[in-house]
Amino acid sequence: MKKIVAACIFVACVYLLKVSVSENSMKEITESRYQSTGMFSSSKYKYGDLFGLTYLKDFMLKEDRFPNKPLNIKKNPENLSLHIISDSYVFGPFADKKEYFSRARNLKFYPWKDKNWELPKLDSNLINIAIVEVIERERAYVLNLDNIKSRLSINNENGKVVVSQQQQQHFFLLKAINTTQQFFKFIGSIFYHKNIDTHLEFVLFDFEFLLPFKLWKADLNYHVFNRINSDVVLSKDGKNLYVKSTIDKNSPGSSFREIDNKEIENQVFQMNEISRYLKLMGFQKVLFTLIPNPVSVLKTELQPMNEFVNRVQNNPKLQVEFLDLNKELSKNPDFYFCRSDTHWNSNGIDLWIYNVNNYLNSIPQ
Amino acid sequence: MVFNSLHFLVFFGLITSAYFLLNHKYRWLLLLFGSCYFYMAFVPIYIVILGFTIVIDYFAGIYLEKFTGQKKKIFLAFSLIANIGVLAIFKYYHFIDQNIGFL
Repeated sequence: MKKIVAACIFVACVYLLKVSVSENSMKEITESRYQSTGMFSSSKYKYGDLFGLTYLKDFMLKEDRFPNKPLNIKKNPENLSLHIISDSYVFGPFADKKEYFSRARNLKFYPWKDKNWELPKLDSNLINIAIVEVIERERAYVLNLDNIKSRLSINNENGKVVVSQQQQQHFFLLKAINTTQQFFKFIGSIFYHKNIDTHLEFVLFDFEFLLPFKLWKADLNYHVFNRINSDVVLSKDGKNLYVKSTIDKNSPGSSFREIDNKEIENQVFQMNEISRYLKLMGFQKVLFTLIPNPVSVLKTELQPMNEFVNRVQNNPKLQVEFLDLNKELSKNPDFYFCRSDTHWNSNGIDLWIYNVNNYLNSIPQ
Repeated sequence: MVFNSLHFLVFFGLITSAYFLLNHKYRWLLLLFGSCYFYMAFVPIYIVILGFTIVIDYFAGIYLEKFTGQKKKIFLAFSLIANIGVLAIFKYYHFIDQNIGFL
């Protein structure tokens, strides 16, 4: 009997470990849970990603995060080839939705979450347009020319990989170190995954029928110990959930970190360089769109903010085309962002596509 | 892998069940593998450090049993220096260096 119990535990643990270190297995499980309904479906993202982290009952909201309908559309002439570098703010709602973009013949996304991108295939019969979209909290990590080049696997202007003289001298040593590191990385990847605990939690506990227990636990933690998930912050007025990195003054993407003019100028310089580089690649137009952190718009924290997006877009040295959303967002701040999700809601998405289509319509035929 | 994580719970279940399923003769191998996995879950390449102390202690154990008197003490000292040396370098070197610099 003891052996049978041990064998059952062994098989269950091996299965759990195998599943939680494999990206493919996790993808399969995630898809099947999201597609299914009923007590064995997933509840994590049904009500917003920040609700899925905190399980606070007040934020169990079904907020629409998809565009309503194509807005401000012009069908003719259909002569634009759109290449959009974006994060989940735009990639999520618009992946494979060419019909939402004015005059678009082709639409190709380059998500920031992918480490490598395909080289853009530009069509000489069309007007090739690059749109670079990034959320304020991520721009410090991604919005620089070297990052764009490395994702396109290009290390210099001619597309060749450059090895410096000093690197050549230590080439064999570097190669040996690199091979050893790769070997251990490979060994590690067989048994281990950096998100293994999150995966295990998802596999074991992310079921709709467990939601009442999670709500109860979150309620207890919040009301008795004043504690919620460490990656999330509840706004001062208690109406919104924010990603902590947008609030924490030590975080590069925070709306409250002090930013000097030198940093703004450096960001402007990088945007100018990215625009110049993409035009050298063959794009006729490059449009930048920086989406402010929800807290930068909602202004609920009653602290001085760095006004990063405003300062960049109003910098006299900025020589790129820039989509200004700030004016509209500030007019009616509560209207555009989800309360229980990091992203904007359908209204925010509609505002973005309306303004992008305005820009696309204005391009000479 | 921290002790209050789900990863540890699954790992513990796996190793304990395998321990009772295995013949006595092979249990040491399972525990060796389990220890290495536990160590590698932090940073895989650190197994090289653990491997170093495993090899030293394995042979030190054999020779400590084999020899007596002065030779035995030499092997004991060798093993102690290797183990404490690793600890001193990887755990306390930075701490000592920082404090000396501070003074």
